[in-house]
Amino acid sequence: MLIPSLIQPRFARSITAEASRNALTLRRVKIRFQFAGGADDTLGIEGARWTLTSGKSQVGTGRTAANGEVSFLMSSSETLVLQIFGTQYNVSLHALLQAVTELSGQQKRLDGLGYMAGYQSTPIGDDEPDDGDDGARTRQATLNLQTDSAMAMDSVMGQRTRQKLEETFGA
Amino acid sequence: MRSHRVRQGECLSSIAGKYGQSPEIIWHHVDNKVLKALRKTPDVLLAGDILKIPSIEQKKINCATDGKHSFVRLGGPYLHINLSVNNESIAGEPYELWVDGRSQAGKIGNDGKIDARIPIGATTGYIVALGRRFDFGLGDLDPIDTTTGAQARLNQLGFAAGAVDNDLGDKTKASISAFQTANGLDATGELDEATRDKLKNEYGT
Repeated sequence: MLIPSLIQPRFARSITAEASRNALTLRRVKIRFQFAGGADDTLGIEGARWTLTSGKSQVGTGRTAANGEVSFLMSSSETLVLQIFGTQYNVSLHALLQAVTELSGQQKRLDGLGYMAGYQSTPIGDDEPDDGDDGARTRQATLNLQTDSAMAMDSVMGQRTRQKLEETFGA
Repeated sequence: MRSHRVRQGECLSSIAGKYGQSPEIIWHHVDNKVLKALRKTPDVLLAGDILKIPSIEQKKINCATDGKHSFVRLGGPYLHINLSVNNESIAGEPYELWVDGRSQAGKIGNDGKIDARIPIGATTGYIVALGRRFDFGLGDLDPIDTTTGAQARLNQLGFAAGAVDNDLGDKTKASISAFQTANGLDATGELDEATRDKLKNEYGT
């Protein structure tokens, strides 16, 4: 996997005590790791060690919570690498995740949950455009989500399935 | 009088420190009038700017023998950061600011403020707070009227503008539109004067 180029906040210095300010707005990022087969909190993988790096420096470390969650703060001016289970995931903040009512938003969420809709395994946070095509992959992914969630299985992204998708993805 | 061409990562304080001159005297010198009008603030210069450095004036001070005399050096840079997290209060959280291998500890202020004096000439640093380390570049912020300056500010305000690469691409335009929408401006995706003014205001510099 490519190590992203170092993008980090740039600050101004000031020559007087009250002259200039810098802003750094952070967002909490939560990523859940779980065993396949549904959207149940009990499937979370607990206690796995993770490290977070920015360029060459390690900027955070911890263990996954009881529900398998990794939680940390980051700014949209940086690209981080999350290392867990011997795998590296590039993490950066999106300007916008498309709404769950949009097909592309549904595909991004289905992909993040491992249902692989529409396009090949694009990591969460990557800006690859989705194909926006409601083809066989998306329908299969929708069916898999419905199966795992014990819902009526019709491969159609109706209102209840959308709700379930949003709930499961977390945003 | 000497001239100094500004390089990335330098600021008026670091340049003044290099020549042993005070930042205020350099900035307000008549030969820097044009640059002063162009950049408006001495805190954000652009790489390539030329500063005239006035010669140092000698000053004689008579001191009595057997007494103790203190001389205080004027100037020296400050760093002011407003840290904020969506939907979370971080006031009172402890932080450590590391610059040039030295650390200063403190607590984050009520509105997310971190204020500190920093060594002259330092170009990088990091903050340890809120469960992780945040690396940053010092004196790296470009002026508001440059594309790179706008991209860096948008990124740090949470509007993902992509790499700070002076390219007004789709990602930067989407970021500008999002910023305009959030601030009650027309979402044109263009860096017009009203948008730059608002961005400067929101960012603080």
